[in-house]
Amino acid sequence: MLVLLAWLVGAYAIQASLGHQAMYSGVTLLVCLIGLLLIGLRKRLTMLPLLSVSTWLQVHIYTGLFSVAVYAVHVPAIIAGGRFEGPLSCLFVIVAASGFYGLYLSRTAPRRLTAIAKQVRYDQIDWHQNQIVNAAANAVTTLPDTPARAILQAFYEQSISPYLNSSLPLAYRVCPTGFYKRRLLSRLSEADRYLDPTVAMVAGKLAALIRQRDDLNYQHAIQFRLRAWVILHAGLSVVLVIWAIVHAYLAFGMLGS
Amino acid sequence: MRRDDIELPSAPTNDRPNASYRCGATCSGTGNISRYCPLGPTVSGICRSDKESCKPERTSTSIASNFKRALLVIGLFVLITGAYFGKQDFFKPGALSTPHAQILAGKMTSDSCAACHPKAGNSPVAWFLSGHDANETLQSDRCMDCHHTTMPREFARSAHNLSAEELAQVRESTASIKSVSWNRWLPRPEFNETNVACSACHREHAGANASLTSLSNEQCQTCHQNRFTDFATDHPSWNNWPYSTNEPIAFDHLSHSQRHFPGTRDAKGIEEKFDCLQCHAKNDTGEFTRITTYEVACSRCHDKALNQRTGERLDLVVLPSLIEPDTKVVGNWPPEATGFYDGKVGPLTRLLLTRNDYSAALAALPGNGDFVRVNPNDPHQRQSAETIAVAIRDLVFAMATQGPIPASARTQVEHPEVREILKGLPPQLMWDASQRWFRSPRLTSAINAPGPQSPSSFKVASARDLSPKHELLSDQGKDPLESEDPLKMEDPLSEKSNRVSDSLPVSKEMPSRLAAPLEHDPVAMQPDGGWYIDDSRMAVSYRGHGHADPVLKAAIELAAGLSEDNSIRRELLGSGPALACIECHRGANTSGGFTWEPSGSIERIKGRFTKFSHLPHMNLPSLADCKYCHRMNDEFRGGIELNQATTVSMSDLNRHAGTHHDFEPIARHACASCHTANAAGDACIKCHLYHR
Repeated sequence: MLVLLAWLVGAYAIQASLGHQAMYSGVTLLVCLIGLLLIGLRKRLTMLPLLSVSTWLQVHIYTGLFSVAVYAVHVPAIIAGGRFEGPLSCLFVIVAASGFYGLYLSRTAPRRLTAIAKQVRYDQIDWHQNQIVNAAANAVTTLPDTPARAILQAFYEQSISPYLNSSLPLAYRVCPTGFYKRRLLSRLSEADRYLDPTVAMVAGKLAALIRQRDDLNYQHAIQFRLRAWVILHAGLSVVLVIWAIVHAYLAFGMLGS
Repeated sequence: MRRDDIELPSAPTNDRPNASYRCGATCSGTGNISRYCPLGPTVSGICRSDKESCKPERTSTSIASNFKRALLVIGLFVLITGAYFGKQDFFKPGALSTPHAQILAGKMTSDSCAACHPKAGNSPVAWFLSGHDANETLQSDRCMDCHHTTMPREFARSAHNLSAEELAQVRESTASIKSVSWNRWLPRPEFNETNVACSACHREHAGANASLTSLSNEQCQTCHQNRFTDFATDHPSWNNWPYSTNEPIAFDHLSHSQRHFPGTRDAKGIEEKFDCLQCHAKNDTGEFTRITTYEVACSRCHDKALNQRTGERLDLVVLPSLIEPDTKVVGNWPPEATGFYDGKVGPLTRLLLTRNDYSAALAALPGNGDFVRVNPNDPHQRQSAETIAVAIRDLVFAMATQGPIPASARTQVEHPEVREILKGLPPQLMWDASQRWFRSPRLTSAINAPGPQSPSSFKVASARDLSPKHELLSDQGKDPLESEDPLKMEDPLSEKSNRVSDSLPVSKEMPSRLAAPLEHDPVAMQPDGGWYIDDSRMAVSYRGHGHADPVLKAAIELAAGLSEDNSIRRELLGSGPALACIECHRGANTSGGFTWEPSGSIERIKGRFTKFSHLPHMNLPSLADCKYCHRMNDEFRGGIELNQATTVSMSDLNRHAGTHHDFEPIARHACASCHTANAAGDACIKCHLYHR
């Protein structure tokens, strides 16, 4: 806040002295944008002693917030007209909005991910899915030859196996829900009183695997959001900075001419 | 239902999450990815297994990198193609203000940009390629292409459009003033005072409704040495506002309101009332006009005195008197102007002769062409007197034969006002003067008469042109102006004349030449003024008439354009008719910026840095009476009595000019009672103008 206040005093002084406040705010904004990109570089230069990523992230967040305030002073309209400034302003707004979303994610996702018993890496989710599928298949093969086996076998083939083998739906990635899990577990629970103890034991293992798959799906959805956000935010940031550099070149060229 | 849980194996640790590819784990076609290949794929995504090869997969890191690259490529593609093809609406950093937008509405967008931005070419690519060439036409010059009518182009980039000398004077006059408010801590302007770009104050692209002329108090004060906080507390005081000591019309409000009007009655016998609105009426926009016409405001009382004073003669040429020996040298000189040195070469004659190579001879004469002071024993002065006499005679002949305007063509090059002066002088009058004064049997012989100097530089008609074949020069011609004096003829419409014409031919009764100079009374014979021959003085003179006489105006303008030390200027402006004009038209005797008929509203006077609108003020009942603010100074004694004809000299005018006016200045506190930040406003631009 102090930095922003000092910057606003500088902007006022430049405006009062009939200087080009837009140049002041524009240069500030460009420097901030380039500075915001450096966090990506820091992540790639892990061998250098450049403070912790956590510190960098805090600086990144505050710089981003400061940039939004500078942008508000810099532009006459939030979304500019023209085929050059229009996309540029849209890019800034999208990147800034994604930054705010990232801020929200960074505050909520860790808590939600650690609420689940087991944390997995995003790139190993497929592996874990297959482990669950194999474990379920193995469990079903161990069923004793009883009348109840047919019931559980049929339920596994019709409902449990398709669920365990399915890929994560897009809707779930957007809005995770335990609906499928609860439905399967409910139906398994209803069949439980018709099963003999041995088969019921297998049914219990299947129920555990369904819960694990649901936890895995939740992990997958949350981590997918984080990954997608990073890709979009970082990718558009690079485009934004390049676009902004061209804009600055033009603005300096037009200054007073 | 949680009767049992199932333990799953731990995830493998031999994978490479940051590599581009990972093992597809599809060996043996089982599709079982529970076992990753320990070798893993190559960097380029080829399976290293020597058994049945599987198809490696891209890692999420690789997919993310590809997605970022795609975003970058798409962004640059849009940027480059937009720059190349997007001729219209490519750059739009903000909407233009409505006045500029309206003007540029009909143009293509690229052309619209180029109207103000010199670097804007036919396509946006040109913007990039134009670089930062400092030699390009500056944007302010583009502004002046349209706004050159409102301010001089040469001072457009100078602070307040003042010249360097004026700025230096202002700086010097305020050098001792120190700021007292916190504003003194504000930074100095980011530009030089002699290079103020239009865009320094007028910022475009701020939206249709944005004001291009709005400036904050701090912005106004950034250039000023004396900075203050607000109008009411520490604004510098003023002296004479809103009155100027250089008003174009010198009107004594005090004497008119207190002395003249109370004793004046109109045609119905009703006492005249001194009404401000009689002269300062409201115009179509509701503002008060600066002044009304002479006919409306002044003529009823001042016509008589003005006619008397402007009726004093203004000489064009006067023949000097020469001594007998000189007339023999000059040849063909009127005997009435012979005997002793007398007469003075008038200012207009001197001006005409100066431009025709007689400067040396004029300078040799004492007292600016005063023949009275010529020493007969000084051969040099005598020779100069003879030269000037011949020159005056040639001038008369040239005007008679060619016409006054062609004969003065050389003078008109530098002084175009001469054309206006001579416009109404008929060539026949000059012809008549030449014939009466020089009585030459042949005009050509007079022109070719031996003289002390080289042939006249006046381009008079040649002898061939003036041969006896010429009707005007022929003795046998029938022109009554030459052979018979029309002034001696009786009125052809009178009864006597009719009777004579019945019996005798008029030509036989008329003398062939004028025997003696006519007594010409211009006051009686030319009540409305005009050119005339004064035979008693051997002069061609002009008699002015009343207000706005064109010849007197031109003579004053001519004199005002001459240098201060020029004797012609002094004599012309010091003449009675000129003084009669200058008494009211203050500034007419100064060169530049003067208008005879000041017009416009009283609120906006060209040259001032302040503005004022009466309209909002007059809405207040207490301010509706003009005299509430405009109080006359009872101690004012600077007025000049117009009725005291011929008593005012140039020195009187100079003494009064610029020192007095007949109103008490309006003090700052009178305005500050309402003009505060929370009431009527105290912004600088509420009263001040940047451009004069």
